[in-house]
Amino acid sequence: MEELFNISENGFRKITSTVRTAGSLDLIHFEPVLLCHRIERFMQLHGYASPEMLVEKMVRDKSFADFFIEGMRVPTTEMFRDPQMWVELEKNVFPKFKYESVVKIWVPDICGDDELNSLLIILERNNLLQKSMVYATCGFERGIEDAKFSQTDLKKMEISKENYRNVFGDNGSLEDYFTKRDKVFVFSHQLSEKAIFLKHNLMTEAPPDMGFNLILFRNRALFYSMQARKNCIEKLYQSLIGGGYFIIGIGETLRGLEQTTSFVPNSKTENIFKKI
Amino acid sequence: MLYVVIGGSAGSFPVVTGLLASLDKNFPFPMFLCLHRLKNVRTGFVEALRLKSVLPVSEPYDREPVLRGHVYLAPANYHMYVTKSETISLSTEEVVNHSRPSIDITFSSAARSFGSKCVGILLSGANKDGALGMKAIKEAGGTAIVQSPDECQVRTMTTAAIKAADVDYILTGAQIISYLQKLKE
Repeated sequence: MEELFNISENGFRKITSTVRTAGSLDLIHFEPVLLCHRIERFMQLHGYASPEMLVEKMVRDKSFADFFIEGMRVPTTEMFRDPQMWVELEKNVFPKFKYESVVKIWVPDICGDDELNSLLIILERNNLLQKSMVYATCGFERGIEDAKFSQTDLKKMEISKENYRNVFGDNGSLEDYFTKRDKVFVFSHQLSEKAIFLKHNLMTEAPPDMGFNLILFRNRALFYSMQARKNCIEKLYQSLIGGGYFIIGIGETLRGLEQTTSFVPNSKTENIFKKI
Repeated sequence: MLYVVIGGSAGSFPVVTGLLASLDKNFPFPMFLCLHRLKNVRTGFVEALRLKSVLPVSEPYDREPVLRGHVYLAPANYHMYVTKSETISLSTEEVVNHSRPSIDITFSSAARSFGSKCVGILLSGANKDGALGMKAIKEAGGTAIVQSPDECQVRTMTTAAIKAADVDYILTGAQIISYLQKLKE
């Protein structure tokens, strides 16, 4: 059986301080409670019996430190997660883009491809993809490559198909956007090539562009410390146009950001906000 | 100060509602419920608990501060962590024991955060989620209570916990209610 939470606070500190010097991204931006669980999971998956063994490997091998940091990040769970949000997006937000000549959209800090691919599909279905500039950014080269050439396994496909049906009913099938190769489903290259993939560190770099009509930032800030979360959301807010839409996960909130951002809810249940 | 964490799955709902209906409205401790639920059914569950409960019940948002006498229900499709700084953190990490929310995650985070002040209660359920969490609570010096498997609609969860951890009490639903009522004394 898997053990949970068995590293000491001292071991946790050793690891985080080593990463600060050996890795390319500072773990100080991560939420400590979740980070601790991620570290333990990583150690179990990769066979490290103690924090000391992990630290030793990171000191010797800088690329391993980056591999470790990448392992701390949490992929999105499935395509079309929280189907009602996508329904609201299609019904209440997309009609506002009808008369825009260009629609600028940013999916920051992608980890996995589910959110991006869901967005590309729904834009395509609403005839918005051709005039959209969809920025997909991630701090890791490998994260970008994985999203560019994305594929999904059968189990995840089944979960995503159920979500898809909850959004679109029987109107089309999710499999229409994939090609089956052996045991995996490869996402449509025609759609993914419409996205602009960029390596971008959301913590430290300026936005890749300004004047976004929509930013999809669902469940990414869960893994950031309070300060990092605040800094990121303020940065994203600044990059939106007035009247632009900002979406966070249904378990998230913008409380505590009232002084530095000005949003009104467009859908309270689905956490779709509009910049005023 | 104590922190009560309750986990359950198939067959646990009647026990949870019975418990929430029986507590004193001045129950002084926060309570965290991690109950297995369907991921895309977001409404109905918390409302059903509210109907029965004398205490306020809500699904927390990420980083919500913990209040005494408040019941927090883990939201659908999120893991729920409780932290030393008395806030709740949500996560979309991988499923644990085929579950999100996972009882092991909530229990283990409570054990780590509150140690001997943590009271863990595991109810009826159909998989082994919660067993390691119970072990973590015991190892941290907290109190581990398991609903009697003989009374559970599905006994897999409680049996696994009894096997994994040296639990303090094996109680019926009525005895669990009585135990909680006496806690504030």
